[in-house]
Amino acid sequence: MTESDNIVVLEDVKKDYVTSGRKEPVTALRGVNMTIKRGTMIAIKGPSGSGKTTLLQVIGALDLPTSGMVKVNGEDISEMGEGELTEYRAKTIGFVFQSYNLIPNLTALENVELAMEALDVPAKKRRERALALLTEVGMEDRLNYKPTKLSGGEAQRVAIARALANEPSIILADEPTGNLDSSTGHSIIELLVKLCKEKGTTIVIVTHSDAIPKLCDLTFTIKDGKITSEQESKRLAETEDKRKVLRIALSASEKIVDKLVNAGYLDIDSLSKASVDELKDVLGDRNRAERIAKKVKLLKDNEEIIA
Amino acid sequence: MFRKKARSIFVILIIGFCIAIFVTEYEVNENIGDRLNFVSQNADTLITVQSAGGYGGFGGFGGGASPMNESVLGLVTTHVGNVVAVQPIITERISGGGESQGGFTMPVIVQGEDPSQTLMLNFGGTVSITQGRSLDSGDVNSAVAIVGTEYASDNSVGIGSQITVGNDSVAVVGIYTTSTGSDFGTNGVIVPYNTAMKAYAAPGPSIIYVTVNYAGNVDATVSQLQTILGSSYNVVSLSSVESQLQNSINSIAQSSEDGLYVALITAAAVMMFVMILITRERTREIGVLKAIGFKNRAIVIQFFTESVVLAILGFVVGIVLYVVAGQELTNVLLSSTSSGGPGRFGGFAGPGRMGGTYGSLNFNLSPEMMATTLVLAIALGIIGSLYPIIRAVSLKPAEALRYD
Repeated sequence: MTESDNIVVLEDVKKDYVTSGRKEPVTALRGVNMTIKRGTMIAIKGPSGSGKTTLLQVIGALDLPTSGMVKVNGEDISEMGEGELTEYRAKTIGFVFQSYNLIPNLTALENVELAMEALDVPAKKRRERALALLTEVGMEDRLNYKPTKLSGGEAQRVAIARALANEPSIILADEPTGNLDSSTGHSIIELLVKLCKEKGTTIVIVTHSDAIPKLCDLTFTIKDGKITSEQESKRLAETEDKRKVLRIALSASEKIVDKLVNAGYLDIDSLSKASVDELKDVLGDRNRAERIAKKVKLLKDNEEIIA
Repeated sequence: MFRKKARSIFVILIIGFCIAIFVTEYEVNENIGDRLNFVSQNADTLITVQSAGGYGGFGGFGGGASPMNESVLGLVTTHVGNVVAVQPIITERISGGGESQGGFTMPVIVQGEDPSQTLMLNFGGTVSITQGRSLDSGDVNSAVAIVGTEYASDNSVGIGSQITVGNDSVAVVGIYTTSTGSDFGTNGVIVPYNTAMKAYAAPGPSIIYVTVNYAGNVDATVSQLQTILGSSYNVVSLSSVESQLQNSINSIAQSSEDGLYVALITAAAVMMFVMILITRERTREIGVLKAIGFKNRAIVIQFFTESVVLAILGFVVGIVLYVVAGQELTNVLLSSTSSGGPGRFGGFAGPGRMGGTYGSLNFNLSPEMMATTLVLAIALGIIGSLYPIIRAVSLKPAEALRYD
């Protein structure tokens, strides 16, 4: 695993709050160390007041740590100026909140477009992309509904579409199912899993739920502002196994395999469905894409002969 | 901004009301300034004679002074020394024919004056002819008139037109404006004294202006006239009342000036209060905008735009209010601000006469005034929202998102 695989690295991050009515500052994070791999789905679990949301806000630059280092994509965001932080939030991070936080007087479509407005994306492109994203999250028949006319699950889908608008490399979701019934919550998590798998987006979910961590690659448990445990789930282990199989089968470098896995090609089956053009988009080189496609075809043909 | 429609309408109405008061106070202030100039310019050597208790007409120009007997004019003209001019004036009103604003028709004042003397405008200043000719000594008994520009324009009257004055018809020979350049007082008709006397069957002048040769002789002349005329008549020099008058006028001018500031400060306070309310309610929204990558500048522009739109709507409502109810608003404002002035000069100070007094104020809203008010409204929007917006955008996104 190379260093570029680590999308988020926190080193000894502390965060104190000064709140009104209290002389002493409240310590929310007490020296958090954490590493998040690119393209993984992470759960942060812990009781109320343990510092989960603060941790998420520090990663998302909604708040700055009192001390320590927060490196995202190799850059220390605690050293960034206001302008750089704004750009970081717009380009690198997509937020999903428990209470959706959609703008009430804008429609679903306009809410998604709004995120792109922050980056001055041309109006036509904004509209096209917002339509595509809302279709992707299954909201194509609710485009012109205002948030008050949407159910909780629908509003959260719109919020996810908004979070994806600027193609962020990380989605930070703060209890995204907290206001939803279990079946709606499950469908939202499935949507996030799908995004992680298909788009290779790193997803960090703060949750109280015991069910969500089972679907994630890694779960951090936080208590009194400190990470108390870090547990890999079955999904990550499976991914690692698949990565190894793929590397051997294709005789490819770790870098190439990472690119394929991050793009959602976890096995020969999924690779066999990809066109050369699609592989070229992932690998950035047509010759390499053609070589991989050829090997995949050979492996599939052999598989059929053996069968 | 308009999520809470009732509140938005309420705010727009309050700002509109403040702007209407501002514009009204401004106009009142301007007109009072014209009058003050007139009094100051003529105070040194001018004396007025009226029936006792009739001084409301002096300041008020309301045309309501009781007429005096013709013999009074003879007494004044023949028995008083140091006098360089005696100008008897008959003041009457023509009902209707004046400019109508908000259901209020400003009365047209008809003045009968001796055409061989300098024509004096009861409203302030002297006559300045813009078309045709003035009245002269040849018109002493003629059925002729000169009319003010406003009257001419409102009634489509030109040189050669016949107009009805009292029981008679007179020919318009000239159109005048005021020497001060103000529109104030141009809603009137001036006819020869004898013509007015006949047309209205007046027993004598309503007021006599006596001009003394120099200021040092004013007191002696007042005393002499009072002795000759007795207590049924009030003889007053403008210089003797000037300070009282100035005080009275200044007090109204000050009140209207204070009113200007109060109206502006109230509107700014309302705007700030509303913007604080709006930004408090929307602090979480500001947090969301920051979280999705909006720059502070974009958020500030959005909120400023909203408050400026509110202020502009308030401006529109204010101008409509002013046009519809400017006259009534003036009466209310002046009757509430002028009590306590010297009752003798009720034309300026007596609350009961204010309506008549300011019935002849100029209520034309100039484009310059509109532009000034619009700029002020926009400034109000910006100033009123400055603090709440800066406060809101200076919050960290996490703090704004925590806000409930």
